[in-house]
Amino acid sequence: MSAISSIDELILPARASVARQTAVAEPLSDHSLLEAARTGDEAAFAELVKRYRNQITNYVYRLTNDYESAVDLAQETFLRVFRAADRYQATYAFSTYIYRIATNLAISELRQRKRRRLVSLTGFFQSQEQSGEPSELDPADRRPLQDVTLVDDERRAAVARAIATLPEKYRAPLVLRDIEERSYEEIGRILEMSEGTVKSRISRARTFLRDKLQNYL
Amino acid sequence: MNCRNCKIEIEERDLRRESLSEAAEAHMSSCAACRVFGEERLALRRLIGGLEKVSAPADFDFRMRARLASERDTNAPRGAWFTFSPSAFTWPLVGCLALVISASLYYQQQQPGVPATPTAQTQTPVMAMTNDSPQTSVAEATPSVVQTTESETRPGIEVATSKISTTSVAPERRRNALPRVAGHAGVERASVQVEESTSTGLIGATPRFAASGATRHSEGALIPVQLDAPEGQLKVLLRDTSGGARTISVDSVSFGSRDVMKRPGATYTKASLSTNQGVW
Repeated sequence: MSAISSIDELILPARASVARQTAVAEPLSDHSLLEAARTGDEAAFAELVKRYRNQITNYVYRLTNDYESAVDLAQETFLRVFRAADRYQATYAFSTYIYRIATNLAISELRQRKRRRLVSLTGFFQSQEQSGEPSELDPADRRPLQDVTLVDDERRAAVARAIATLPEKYRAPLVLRDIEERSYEEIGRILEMSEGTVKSRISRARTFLRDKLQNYL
Repeated sequence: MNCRNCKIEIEERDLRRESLSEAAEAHMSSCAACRVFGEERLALRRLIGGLEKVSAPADFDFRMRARLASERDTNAPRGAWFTFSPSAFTWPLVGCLALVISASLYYQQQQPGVPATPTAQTQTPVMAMTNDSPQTSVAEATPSVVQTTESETRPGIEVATSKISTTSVAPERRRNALPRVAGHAGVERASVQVEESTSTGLIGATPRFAASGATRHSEGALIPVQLDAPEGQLKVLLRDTSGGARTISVDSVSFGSRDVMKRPGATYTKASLSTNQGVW
């Protein structure tokens, strides 16, 4: 007769056995998890969400520069993955697939925001700091730095603002390369463009940022 | 290495894994522009890469599950009385509409004495018409459509009937020597009366059916019709027992390359039985 090793095993033997198997076995690949999610395994889908929720949230946040919106879009990304699980083809890495969905959602959100801003009358009466939304014209900040403790925050905010002012076609490749640290090849697959175009756009984006962040370099 | 290649290498290198090649390092030590470019790019990439990573909120999974659950609820089928969906009513609506239209048409057809609408078309039994005369062609009628037109009603040939319906003519009946109006089993048809030909085209050799003397033909009786009739349509006035009248036009019937009655612009060739050519 085998001894009971934990209270979990006593209460939920099946659950404990699964946990033990998971601890022993190698972690399942993204493809396997999605395959399991396709058959209705919610735990597998939850594992996928757990793996990618921070990456996707951070990526969308860098594209949109709005945390609430980024969280919302990240959730929508996972919902779309879940809905389209039947149609998923494991041609490329799952990360490529999910990043592509997130990119499309973020770009769509940026375009909607742009249209809203075009017709917004209240925007004329709000300063940039109040509205929280960067304007297209964002000249280099030449104010003297007041306090060393604020330097980092100020610098981060300036960088984030500068990235947010980049045109969409430059923003996504730059974020994927310099923040998400993806390879050129993967960026090309995510954005559905050639590697040469990706490199060219990243170079242009860096040149834009260099001009905007001259004081911080 | 030139400046262009050096800048490309600076741009494309992976800060975490790769360092510049020896050739690029050597070039940068001798080229101030490339050195400045490299330093700027390095600082910029560190600045961008130094942005803090944003994490998903703690309730991300909870909100995710809630959204999934709400989506499932939305997709779940509900009672038709509680939700209104235009697409759900489409087919029942179409069915009801078709039912109403067919019922009204049926009621209209059942009404005695109500003349048919000008656009109404009724399929009628087609007469098998052949002539045993050696001079006339032997022809055979095929099913056709007789158009009843209110405006064409005029005193003339009267065929008393109560109903015209579609009837398929058996092959043996088609080969009868004389044309006849074939009756449908079960169709109420007391008599067939041919009074007068009203077709302007039916002159000369056209058989003029008995004028007001009104030869009455019983159901299934054969009515002689000249096959080499001139151009035009044979129009027959039908009167039923309830007093309703309608004119039917017997159009030229064609089968194969031969015409029973001459049609405008069509070449007409007589066939002779004596030549043993047959109609086919």
